Amino acid sequence: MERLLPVIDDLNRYYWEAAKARRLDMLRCQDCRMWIHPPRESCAKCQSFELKAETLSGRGKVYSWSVMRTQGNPGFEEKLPYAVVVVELEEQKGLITVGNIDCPIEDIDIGLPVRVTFEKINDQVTLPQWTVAGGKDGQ
Amino acid sequence: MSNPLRDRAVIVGVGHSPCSRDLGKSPMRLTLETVLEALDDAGLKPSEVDGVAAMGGAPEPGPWAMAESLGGDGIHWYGGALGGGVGPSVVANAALAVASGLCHTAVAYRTMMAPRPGDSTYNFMAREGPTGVAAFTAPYGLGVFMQYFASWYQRKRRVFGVTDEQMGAYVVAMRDNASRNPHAALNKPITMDEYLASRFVCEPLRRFDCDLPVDVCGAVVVTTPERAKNLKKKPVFVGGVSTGTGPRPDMIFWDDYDRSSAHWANEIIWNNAGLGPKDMDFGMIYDGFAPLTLYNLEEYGFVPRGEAGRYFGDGGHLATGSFPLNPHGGNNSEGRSHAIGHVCEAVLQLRGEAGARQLKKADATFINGGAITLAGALVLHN
Ligand SMILES: [Zn+2]
Repeated sequence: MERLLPVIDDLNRYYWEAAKARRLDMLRCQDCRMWIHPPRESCAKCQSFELKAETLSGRGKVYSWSVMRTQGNPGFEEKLPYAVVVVELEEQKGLITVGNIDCPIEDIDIGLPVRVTFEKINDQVTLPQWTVAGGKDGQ
Repeated sequence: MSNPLRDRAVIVGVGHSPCSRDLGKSPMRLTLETVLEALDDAGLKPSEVDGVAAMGGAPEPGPWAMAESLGGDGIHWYGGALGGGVGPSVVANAALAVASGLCHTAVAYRTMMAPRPGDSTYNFMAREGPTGVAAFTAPYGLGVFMQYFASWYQRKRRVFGVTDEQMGAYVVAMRDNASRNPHAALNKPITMDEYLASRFVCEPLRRFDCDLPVDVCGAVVVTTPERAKNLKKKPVFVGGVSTGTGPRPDMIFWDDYDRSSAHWANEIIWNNAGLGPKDMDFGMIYDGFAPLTLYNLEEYGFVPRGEAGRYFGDGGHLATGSFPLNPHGGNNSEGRSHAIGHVCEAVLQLRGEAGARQLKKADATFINGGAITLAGALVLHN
């Protein structure tokens, strides 16, 4: 089966457009400056509707992870076992995103510094992904 | 501040089906038979029911189907669960309705059916393509419920040093408890070695950490203390109820994996009940995934934060331990019932009717339901 790809809609289009341009963008409250992800219509802290996409550094730390060993996710039948990392982004405590990581499963641990990479799936969708920061290209 | 609803509702009847992969009954028949069992236990006629609490939604028959089946002259109140604790929370909602005079005698139940071939299971992903939060998870192969919980458990293990052996001590004890529960689906004792050899379904979650989907129904009858005086069984008092959730109610994007929604239900329950964790003789702690017990025990104040693993390692949860847990085997070994099995067992224990599983001291207990983003709690006592 094919991997499920996001349904791009008015609320999340900024995110997937940015990823195509190899940027990690998320919504940010223009009144209180809180970052918001996944997208929602209003700021969770100050109720402002003035949310705009801004670009993040693409750096964070592994907050947690799991290693899937059971079928159930379309497109991942041949990939078992695989890890999904939960990343806390450096811009804000509790600002969480998820993805896959290109290092061996044994190397994953809480606090591992990571940076975003981009995996082009097709002309519509590029997925933000994760690699160990300070890796072989020195970044 | 005293809660005006405290001790104003009592449980007077309990019904509980066996837990099995296929009971060979329709959801309606299974539910009605179990509700009738609970009414018979109470000494009440079906037509005396004027309230129904159930979440409904296929396959569980909802309050309307139940009201129609009981042959009465209409009902005064129906509702779902009080917030997110599922089994305990339908009972909590019925108790609030009775205590506040919306009805005088309510049945509350939860019915689960094991998935049949072709049924969808706990899977967040729409086949036509992921929208909403799932748009940010499904493309990474993160779409099955146990993966969400495994991410929480991994952090708990690494931050607080919970070991395989500590979690295994819980599961081994549940299988042992279930061996004394004729309703239980997984009633053969296992050893620690067998637990440790249990395969990872989503690491660090093992197969034996997950409850088994079964056909099951549990039901209770709730009425006023005044009406209970003329009934067959000793009433069990509903001392307090609560529910709650956190500020970021999605499990994976939740902003603090060290604090589950039980934190917010805990802020309310003890004040409502006028009792504290130390007053509870035993715990009916939700364990749809066995490691959920870690969060529940810590958030509701039964052990200090980060100490639940050690409590299992020390055998605190055993019938002979400092705070016995789930003498029926929990959802972990009895079967997946969204903790309605916990409610039924609590009533039997408090009435001294739990047979070979009967605890020595069982006059007050705490029951909770809900997984991470959902919470509901119930205090019952004699
Ligand atoms: Zn704001």
